[in-house]
Amino acid sequence: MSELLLELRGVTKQFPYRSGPLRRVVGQIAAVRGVDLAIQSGEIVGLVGESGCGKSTLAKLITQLEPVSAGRIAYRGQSFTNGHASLAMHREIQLVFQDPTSSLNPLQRVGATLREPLRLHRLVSSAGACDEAVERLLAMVGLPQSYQRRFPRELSGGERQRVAIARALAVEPKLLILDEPVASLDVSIGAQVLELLRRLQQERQLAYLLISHDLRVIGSMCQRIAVMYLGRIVEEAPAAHLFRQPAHPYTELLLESAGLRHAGIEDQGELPSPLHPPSGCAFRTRCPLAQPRCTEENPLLLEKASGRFVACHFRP
Amino acid sequence: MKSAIFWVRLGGGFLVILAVLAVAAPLVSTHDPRAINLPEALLPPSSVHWFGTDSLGRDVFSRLLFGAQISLLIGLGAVGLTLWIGTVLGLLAGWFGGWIDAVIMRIVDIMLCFPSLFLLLAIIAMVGPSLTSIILIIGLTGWMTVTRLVRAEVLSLKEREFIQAARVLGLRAPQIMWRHLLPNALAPVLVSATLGVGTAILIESSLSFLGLGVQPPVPSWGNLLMDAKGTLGVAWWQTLFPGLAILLTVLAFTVVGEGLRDLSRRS
Amino acid sequence: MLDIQHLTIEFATRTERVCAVNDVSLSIGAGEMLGLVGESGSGKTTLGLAVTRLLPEPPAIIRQGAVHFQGRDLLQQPLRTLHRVRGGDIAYVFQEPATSLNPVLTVGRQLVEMLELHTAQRGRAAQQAAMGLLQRVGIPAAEARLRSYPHELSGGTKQRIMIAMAIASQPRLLIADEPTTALDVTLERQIVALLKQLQRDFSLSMLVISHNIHLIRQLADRLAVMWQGQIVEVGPAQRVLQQPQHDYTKHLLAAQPRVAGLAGGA
Repeated sequence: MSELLLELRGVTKQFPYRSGPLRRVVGQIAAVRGVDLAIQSGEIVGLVGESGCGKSTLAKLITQLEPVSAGRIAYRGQSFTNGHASLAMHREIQLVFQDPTSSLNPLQRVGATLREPLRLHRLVSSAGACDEAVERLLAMVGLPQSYQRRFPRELSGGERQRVAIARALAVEPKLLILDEPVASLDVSIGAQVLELLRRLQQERQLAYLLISHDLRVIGSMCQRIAVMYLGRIVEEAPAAHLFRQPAHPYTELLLESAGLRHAGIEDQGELPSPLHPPSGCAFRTRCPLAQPRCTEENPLLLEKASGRFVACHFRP
Repeated sequence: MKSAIFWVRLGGGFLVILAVLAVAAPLVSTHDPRAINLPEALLPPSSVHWFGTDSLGRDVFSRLLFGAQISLLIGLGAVGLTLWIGTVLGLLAGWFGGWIDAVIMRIVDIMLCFPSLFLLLAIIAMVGPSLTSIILIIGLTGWMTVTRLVRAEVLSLKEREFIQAARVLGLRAPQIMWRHLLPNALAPVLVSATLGVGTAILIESSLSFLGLGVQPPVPSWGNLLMDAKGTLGVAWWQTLFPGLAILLTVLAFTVVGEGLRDLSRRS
Repeated sequence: MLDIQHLTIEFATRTERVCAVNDVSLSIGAGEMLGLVGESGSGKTTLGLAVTRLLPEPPAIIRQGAVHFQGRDLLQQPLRTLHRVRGGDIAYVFQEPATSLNPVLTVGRQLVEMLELHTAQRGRAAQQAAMGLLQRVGIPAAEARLRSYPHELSGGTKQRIMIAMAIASQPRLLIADEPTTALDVTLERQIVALLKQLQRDFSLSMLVISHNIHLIRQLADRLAVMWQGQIVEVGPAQRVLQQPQHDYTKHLLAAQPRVAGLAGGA
């Protein structure tokens, strides 16, 4: 019994680009360009892409850290692109950041870090209930109770990330956005954190938006995957289809580069600057299928088969 | 080279002793600091008058102790004021940016344009010297550095992920500023404040030396130096001890401040 | 080519003594690519820097061991002679090209500097050689690139330039420490292809240090696994990856995220 939690329609975000000694605005960086995305409750959606594709910016837009330049974001049908999100909204959607060292206040003890959201959202009615809740949170992420008194610098990277996860889940969100949750961690520690996330998702029927540049991480967790390139979603499909039958040439290139596919694709191009994205299809500078049409017309993300979307003039 | 923590302990130890002596001045001093005793004027240090007497027969040691109260009070009071004003303005400027930032920074720039000495003298001439007015004046002319420091810290902290996390959790700006920004922004401010106390004491001593600060008969270290102006050749103790007191105290604050800076830089 | 014998390195801080490299013996043959895999704190970077004594001593202390290269023990050589080896016969490529390149000098200047330092070429000849190097590493419009400053270039281009600087002196051994960690995966693939090409063209020996098993898998002939300062397993890359012997190696390989439902998704 799933419902539509999050819906993005035509979401666009531009940042002014300043240059020169007077820091004058000389251009716009279009970090996110016309993104459509939908996340159902209890679903694990992956967002994969390389530097500058806009995936982290998208996380900031969804959590209202940055305002949208154009387009619409709606949660359970309620739009919240204008102005600040209500306190209630912050209970529904939470975010775990990439770097656990800088995502925790270095001067705040673990216990206080976990108490803060509980008190803010009035989830506990007394100090005793608060203490119990903090104990439950620590147990939930597999940390000993003695850690309440510790400062972040006394914890290892993996432990800090667990605290960040506990903090995010303290408000009992329905949607958890994970922005490169294991990129700063050693592989074996990261594996434990991913396992924790998997378990929590099943226990609580959470929806995840997992953002990563690492296809293997995405592939190990996600049911549905969206591939981003220079601010646009170029392909979206169920995980199994994406890995076995990638439709978009960029997806093919990503899989090849990650060693998940061996089709001998050639690529000598580089990521174009987000300041001057290629006209039409942004991938055309590196695409073996490029034709004059690709320069003039940006391919729209169209549903080619049920649940499978591709933005390419020539695929599938 | 001695470690930073050594200097902090050394300077800090001195200041703690000084503070204790100053607070306990009524108990520790050997004589009444205001008791004029002309027959005993200009006596060199002895077992009765540890630091000798001044030209009115007053015990220098006792005057020094009570003067410590004044100096520390003014130093801490003035710096407290600069911290208050500077932190609030720095937080607002750094967090909100935009026109609030522009206005505050322009005020800072304008204030910095005034040569502080003349400003101090001018205001004292208008308001008249007293303990309160001196604290106010030194405070009101010294908050700009703190504002700049706090603003710079806030600007860099604003983009740190734990601040963003606080926003995502739903915390409002005042809560974020109080609980997350301020404690983390304080480190360089503390260094500046510690050094600032030394500076404030120097300013007060200079003003009192010129007769524009704490007015006699209230003893302040600057006052003591003023009284000693004519007697340098005859009664070296009258100049030496207050001068030494100022020197050591300002040095102690400087040493502690720089030690703190080294410590904070390391972490 | 390179023979490390019983190398032990400690770091002494004011409070404690940490053993970063513990009795490590490793060798690299001529024209061979050795991959050194380990997580953070395993000592792999320390080992790579120690080969040409790039570690500041103190706080590093080389307790014992020898590094045999071209018939000499590098650890016994006077420090000032080693600067000829560094960047000369043994070249390095590091993780962050942004911090390895001097931001106020053009790329051309820096390349020419390398060439003049380690080869007999000067002036015009060095300029030509620099352009040739850029072409070698696959940078288009080499002439224009020579006049560029590092900040004008992309991460991938900068890393290629680092590689160009490393091979400028025609080294026998290239030590690459996390060469692609700061790069996107599509760029990583290009750099891997470049490194393989260079290895073939110049019969280079290579020591590739990384935590990224996927990178090592593509590059290495032989693979050594490092954990807490010790080499726990070493052998032909394919063998180690497919039939790991040591528990840590097994643990490390098992921890790699696996794409669900994809055969050989690791």
